[in-house]
Amino acid sequence: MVDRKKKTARTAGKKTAAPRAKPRKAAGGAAPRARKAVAPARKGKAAAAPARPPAAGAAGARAGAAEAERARKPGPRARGLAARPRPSDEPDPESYFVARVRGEEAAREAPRPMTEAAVEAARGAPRAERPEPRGAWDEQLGDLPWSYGDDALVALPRDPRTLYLYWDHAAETLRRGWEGLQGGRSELWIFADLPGGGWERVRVVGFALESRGWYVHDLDPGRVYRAEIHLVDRDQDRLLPRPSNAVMLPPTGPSPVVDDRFARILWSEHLARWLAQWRAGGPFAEDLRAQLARLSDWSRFGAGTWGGSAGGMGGRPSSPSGPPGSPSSPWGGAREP
Amino acid sequence: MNREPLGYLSLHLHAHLPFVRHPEFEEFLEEDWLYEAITETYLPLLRVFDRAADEGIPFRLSLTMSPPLVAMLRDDLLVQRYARRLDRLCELADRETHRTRGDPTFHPLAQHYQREFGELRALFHDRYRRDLVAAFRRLEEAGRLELTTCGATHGFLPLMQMFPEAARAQVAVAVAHHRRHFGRDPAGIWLPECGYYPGVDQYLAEQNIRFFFVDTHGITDATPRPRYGVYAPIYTPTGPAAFGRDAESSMQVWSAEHGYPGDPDYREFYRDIGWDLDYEYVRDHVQPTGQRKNVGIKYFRITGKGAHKEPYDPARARERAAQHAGNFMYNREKQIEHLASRMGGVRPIVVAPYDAELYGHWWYEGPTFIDFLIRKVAYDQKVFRLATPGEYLRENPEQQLATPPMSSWGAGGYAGVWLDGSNDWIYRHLHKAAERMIALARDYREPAPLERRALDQAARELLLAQSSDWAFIMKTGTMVEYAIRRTKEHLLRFTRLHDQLRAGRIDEGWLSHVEGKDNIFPEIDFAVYRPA
Repeated sequence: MVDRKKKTARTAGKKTAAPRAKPRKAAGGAAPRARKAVAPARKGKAAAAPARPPAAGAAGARAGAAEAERARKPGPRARGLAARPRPSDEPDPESYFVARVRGEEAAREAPRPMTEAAVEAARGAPRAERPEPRGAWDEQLGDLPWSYGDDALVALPRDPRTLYLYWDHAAETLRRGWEGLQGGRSELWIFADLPGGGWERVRVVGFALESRGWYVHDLDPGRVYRAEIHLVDRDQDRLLPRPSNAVMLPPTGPSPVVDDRFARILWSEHLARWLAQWRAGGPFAEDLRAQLARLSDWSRFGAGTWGGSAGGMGGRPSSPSGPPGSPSSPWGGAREP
Repeated sequence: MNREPLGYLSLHLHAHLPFVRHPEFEEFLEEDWLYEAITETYLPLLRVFDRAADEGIPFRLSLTMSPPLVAMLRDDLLVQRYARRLDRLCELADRETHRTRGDPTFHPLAQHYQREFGELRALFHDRYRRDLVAAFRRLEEAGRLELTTCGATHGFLPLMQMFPEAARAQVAVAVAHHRRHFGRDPAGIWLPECGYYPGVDQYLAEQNIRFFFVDTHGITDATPRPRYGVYAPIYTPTGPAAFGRDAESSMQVWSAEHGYPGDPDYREFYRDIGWDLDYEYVRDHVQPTGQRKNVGIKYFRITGKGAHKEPYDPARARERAAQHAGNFMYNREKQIEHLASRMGGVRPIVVAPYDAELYGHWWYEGPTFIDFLIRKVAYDQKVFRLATPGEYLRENPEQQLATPPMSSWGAGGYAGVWLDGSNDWIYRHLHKAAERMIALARDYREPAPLERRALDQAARELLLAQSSDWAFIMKTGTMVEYAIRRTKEHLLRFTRLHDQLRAGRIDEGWLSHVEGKDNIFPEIDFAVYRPA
């Protein structure tokens, strides 16, 4: 492996090197060197000093004072002109770029409001509405539904230790689920795969169904998880349809698997053709095919294992391989002791 | 005697903007993203590339042209609006030249902008004939750029992995769009947000996409452990190669603390005359609502961390950009020499990907930095050469087999940016729409012409709703209202189309309206969602 520590040590201390290429002349001729700043505005002309209050900082305070002063005493250039700058109604439109190329922190720490929170803090006036489109088609699109009335539990991988689950249930499903339960409560059961196959329950989380979504934290990276929602009371539990899809949380750190296999893929070969060839019966050597098969296994949920998804939102139609304590029927089964 | 280079440097610029087009408004704030990026990034980069190509500089870079960006750059309405915006910018620069006359500090700066905008306008109209996509295409045909595609609408694929047809469609639609605009298949793809999950490589292989990019841990945490770390790509199980971002070269440009763009001599991003000058003077150039905004003329340099700013000196900044290019090159030389000595004859590749809009828009001198860098690399050193990922793979077809983990280049390295309390509400709706779209594609084998139009538009609306930009904006708390509105509008239009199709009552008038408004991907075929 590459000794990156050593390399970093060798290069990190290197200061700016003198350019070896002769700098070309600046486009349009060289601009003069910086000189002492002088007031840029001529008498009666617009001032170059900041005129709008940034959110924070000394510059903001100064600019804010200047703005307030101008608001009290409009100058000759402003007289007769109706519009005045309003306080920020929305974040600076540059905020998208700043957040994207410099990060979320940069947007938060910008000298003028670039987040909605900063705008809220800076604003003293009611929010201005954007102009309505003229002559536009009123589509009357309404709003998104609260529920689609499906029975679904969907698992999404957020990071190596966090699974996000959301669910949706038909009213009839919920009615039947709660029916006859004495002081019942809802639980999320989290299952992780076992190396030899099968599942183990690794977490039971009490939660409110009304929350509609849940983050399950502190799971082990690199394992495949799925979830179920159970309605339970002292005597029984009921599995709400449907169990979630299974999803792998990413592993972290260097893999313990060290297996230096290389493949030669010529540029002239179409990958789809190459794909077909590595499958059993193709021209590739057995060891290469075995390696690719293992890679696919490491992928765990590589394309193809999911199958199509038109059949319904969320998890599989039935609980896979019957984890301990999980009823095979959505409505049956006694509570696990 | 020429010495064979010890390794490669692969510079990749990811050019992308979400699809923002509002014909229903005369002016629309978020369309500024495109106009600003054209003036400050795309035109300046094209100028650098074309000048170097004209002079015979042997440079090679790769560049993402995301489908939404390509669609906007080719949209007549947006191009017209941009041309008008550029005219007004030139007028403002003229006014500034007049206003600052006699001022020894700011008048030369005003003249600098007057010249610059005039030159960009000439490039836009005369050299590029208002078609920047064709300009990038010519550079690819000349062997200077390798253009890669992206997800069709920059959808974050790991969070749609339970709907393989949806992930596949993001790739397939993008490839068809790329082929239509660039006349060839893309050799590579920028997975949106570098979002990889095991299995997505199959959809790339189906389209013969040969490479993609992942963040550093996408390689270092791969299974089996990659022998050469990020300094060689790995072949994923279905064949496409994954190139990993080099943290060291990235930090030199990205880092807020140590990155070049923070140099005191460089132009200060926030001090723009749209905010600095008297309101009445700039009111015709700020937002229609009356709010101030950047107009693109900035007179100060970063100077330091405090509020005090000194006037900007373009010549001094240019000199600094040359120094930084030299420094960047020197560090790559040392890095590649070191790596090559430890890789047993394998030539390392250092992959340095950046958001294209960092160059020029945020870092004003960024295009100049690239200009100096490609010239210096060509003439001032022999340790490495610039190469694109495709070129590297053609020369080095033998690579290790491994599977990257799910990963992204967002904060935290996984899906946390696009899945948190601010935006997790969108997924139940996005997934439901994907499920319905797949079912429509399955059920409508031979649609009538009007049904086909509705189905194709439904596919467009779903794709537009899936853009990762909306979730990103919700997370960062910036233009949240707009992001929510866009997500909802596309989902609601999709839902209405779905319901009308299922009910057998398509409102053709409304459909025409929506086709005109969300007009991306005119070539789309909804059948791309059909289950295998």
